[in-house]
Amino acid sequence: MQLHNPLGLLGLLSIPVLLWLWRLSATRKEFLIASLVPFEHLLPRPPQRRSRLLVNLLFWIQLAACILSACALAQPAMQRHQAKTTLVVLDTSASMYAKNSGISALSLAKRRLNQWLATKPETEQILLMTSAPVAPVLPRPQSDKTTLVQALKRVEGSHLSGNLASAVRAGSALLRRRPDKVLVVTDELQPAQLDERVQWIGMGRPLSNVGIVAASIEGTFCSPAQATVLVTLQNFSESNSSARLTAAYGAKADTVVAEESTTLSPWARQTLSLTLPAQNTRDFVELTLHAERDNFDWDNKAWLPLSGSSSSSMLLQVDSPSLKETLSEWLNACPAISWYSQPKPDAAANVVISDHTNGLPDSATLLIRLPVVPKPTLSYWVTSLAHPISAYLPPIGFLAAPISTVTAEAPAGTEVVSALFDGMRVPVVVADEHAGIRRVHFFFDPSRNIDSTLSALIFFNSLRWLANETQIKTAGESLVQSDFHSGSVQVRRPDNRYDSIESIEGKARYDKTTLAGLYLFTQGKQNTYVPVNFLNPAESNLIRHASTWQPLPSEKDDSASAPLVLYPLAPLLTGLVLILLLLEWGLHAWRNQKHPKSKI
Amino acid sequence: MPNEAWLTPELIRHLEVLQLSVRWVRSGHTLGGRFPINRRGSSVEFADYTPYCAGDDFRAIDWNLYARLDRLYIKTYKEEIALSVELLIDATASMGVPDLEKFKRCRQIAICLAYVALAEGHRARLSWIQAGRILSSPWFSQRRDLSQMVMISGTVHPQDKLFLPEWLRRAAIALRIRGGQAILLTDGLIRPAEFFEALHVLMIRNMEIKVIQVLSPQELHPARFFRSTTVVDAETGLRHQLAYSPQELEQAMASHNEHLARFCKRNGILFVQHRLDESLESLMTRTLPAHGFLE
Repeated sequence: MQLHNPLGLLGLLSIPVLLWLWRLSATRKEFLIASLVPFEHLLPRPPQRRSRLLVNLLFWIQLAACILSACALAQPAMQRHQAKTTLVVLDTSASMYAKNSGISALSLAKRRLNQWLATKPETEQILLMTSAPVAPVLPRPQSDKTTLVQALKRVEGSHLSGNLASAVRAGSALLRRRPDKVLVVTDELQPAQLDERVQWIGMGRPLSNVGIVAASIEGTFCSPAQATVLVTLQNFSESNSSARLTAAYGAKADTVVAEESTTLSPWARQTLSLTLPAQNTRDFVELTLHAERDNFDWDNKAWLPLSGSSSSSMLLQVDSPSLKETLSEWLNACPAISWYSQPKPDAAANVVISDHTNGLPDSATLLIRLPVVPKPTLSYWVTSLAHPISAYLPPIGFLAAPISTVTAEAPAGTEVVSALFDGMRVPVVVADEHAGIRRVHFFFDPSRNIDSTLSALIFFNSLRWLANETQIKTAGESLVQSDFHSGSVQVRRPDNRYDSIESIEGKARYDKTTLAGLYLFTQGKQNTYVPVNFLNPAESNLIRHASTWQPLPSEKDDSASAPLVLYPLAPLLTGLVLILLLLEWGLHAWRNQKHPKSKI
Repeated sequence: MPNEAWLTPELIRHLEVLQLSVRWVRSGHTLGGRFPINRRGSSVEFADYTPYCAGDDFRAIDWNLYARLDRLYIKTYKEEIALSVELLIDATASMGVPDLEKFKRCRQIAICLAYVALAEGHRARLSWIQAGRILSSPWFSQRRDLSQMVMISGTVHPQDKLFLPEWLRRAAIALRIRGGQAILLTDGLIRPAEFFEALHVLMIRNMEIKVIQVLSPQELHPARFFRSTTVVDAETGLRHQLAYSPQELEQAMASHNEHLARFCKRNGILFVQHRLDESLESLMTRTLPAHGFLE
């Protein structure tokens, strides 16, 4: 029992007031009687001061009302254990779309869950979670079967990777206690050892599959030329499988512009190269895989953007003369890039190259932070090979260039290149992407180094990354589209549903990319297709599905943090007070009617 | 008949079969009743012989007896007289406390007893014990007088205080009360001495007296309703702060009533205490016959 407002107990002071009122009433009350004659022999005795208050039922009702009112003011709450709670995790990952005898595993799972819900006890609280994305279907646990069935009906799968362990952790956090039971409905294989609280319902069975697991488009950055598409296929089965890959331009994809066939050995991964004819439209190419023993459709498509560097416009805003001269020479050497040094009022640059540290623009920016001392320093450069900027760069290099050693200025992001200098690791190139805006920070002066090849390579790789070159979006990533007016932008999803988002300062951001396919951004007459690819080998592998399950935390830890539920008693007490007051009113009225003038 | 819901045909049927108990018939009754007495009356039923005195009607001399005994005797005959029933209803202020139900019940009892008397061939009269002039109804002698009796009795309300013996003395003179039966309907909440003196006034008037004490349950058990409070006498207006134990209050009331009952018993007066929570029908058909009021 807890009191949320202990000061409310001051209301108990009304009890002495009630007693005083009753004593005052008793002393002032007069009864009219027929005659004092029967009591005449008692009259000579002087009235005694009575110590005991004479009360009737009205007094006890009023006393109870006072006490209950004071208790209600104190807002008591009773601690009780919650009803039995079950956390249901429904796997909605992409692999649940695999067709098993014509019906998807997700449909089977929903059917099984419906049957399970029909037999659950009425008081059992259910929190339904999906694993891809990890989110609750209903905001709080529910015991109503109809609500749960309706919510389950609305659940749709996604083309994302699922994570059962994350779903269990998130569900437990939402419940604010350890669930009494965890029900997992998934196509993943059941772990060998399961906690006794966990009930595992397996869906589907191992299926062969052939899918696109990676795709990229290559082309020269500085001159328009034929694009080459590199597509990696994998055979997720125990037998050979023939595969044919076709490429077509545009959203309609009605004309095949390239085609390649191959035979994939069991579990073999093979990269096919398709050379696409030159085209100047800013569009994308659609890749389609036709293969034997294929039980999963969503990994048979991929879309690659064809936006060339020729369409990129760059603004060079550099104050340092030497740096400006060097960068101008480099940019002039690249005929596909259109650049200018003065901002154009009618067009915004795709990439801004600047050495100003203040007032960063909202577009992709290459920010060169010139060192205070322009003297070249000899140091080892270490490259992080995981980032696109580090393409064609050696893992470790040796370079003499002026380096800014003020590490406090280093922004958050990926250190693409670092220098080992004076026993310290100093960031040299840092790439950062935040809210759809890419920025690359140079902490060296590219115009004053001895070997300009490495600097130029880093510079052009950075420009390529900043210009969004060869960016392939996959399901789950945010889509940021520019060149919109401020206002509402309609987004048509691959499942033909529409969402409305707001364009802020020309940029429209869409986060709910749960499905792979073409997303159409529409504002007025402006239509922009943005492809989102599946490219998820883990989900494409329907035979050896990687488990995302983790054992539940030990009960000892959970029981310590399992909270008790507080049930407020104030409404109940207030209701009781009202009932007592009504009873008191009725009793008082009845007594008044019976003895209207206090006569005996 | 005025709207008297309590006076139901069923109650009247019950009253029809009842009759007043009469211990003895005394002088002062009117002739023409059903009670025969030894009197030099004019009926045909022979009663006795009595020696002739000067002034007797010599037509009543039995000459045959004179021939045999040589002494003059006259014949006496039975005389049939009617019983006079005086119903005395207490209408002082105390009868209106705690409510008028007590006074109403007295009125109902009086009407019922009067009807019993009328049905039996007696005559009855209602009188209200009240300050001021003597308030009394005319004599009723027939059943059809019931409606008039009800109407007249409905106009009286309890008020004021009086000295009961004094009122009875005045009433005895004014109403020529002598002989017959007097039924006193009261709450008995007067000093016992006054009560005894009042009954003596009736006794010396050669009346057969019956007393019905009507009390409410609150009056019988005062401790249940007031203890440590100020009580006000309805008649005198006196206030007193009671500070007695419940047992003392109950005992005082019981002692008072016991005192009245004992006096009545000692003087051959029928005494019945009636609680208001007992129904009128029960009183008339069970309680009063059980106590010898009715037969």
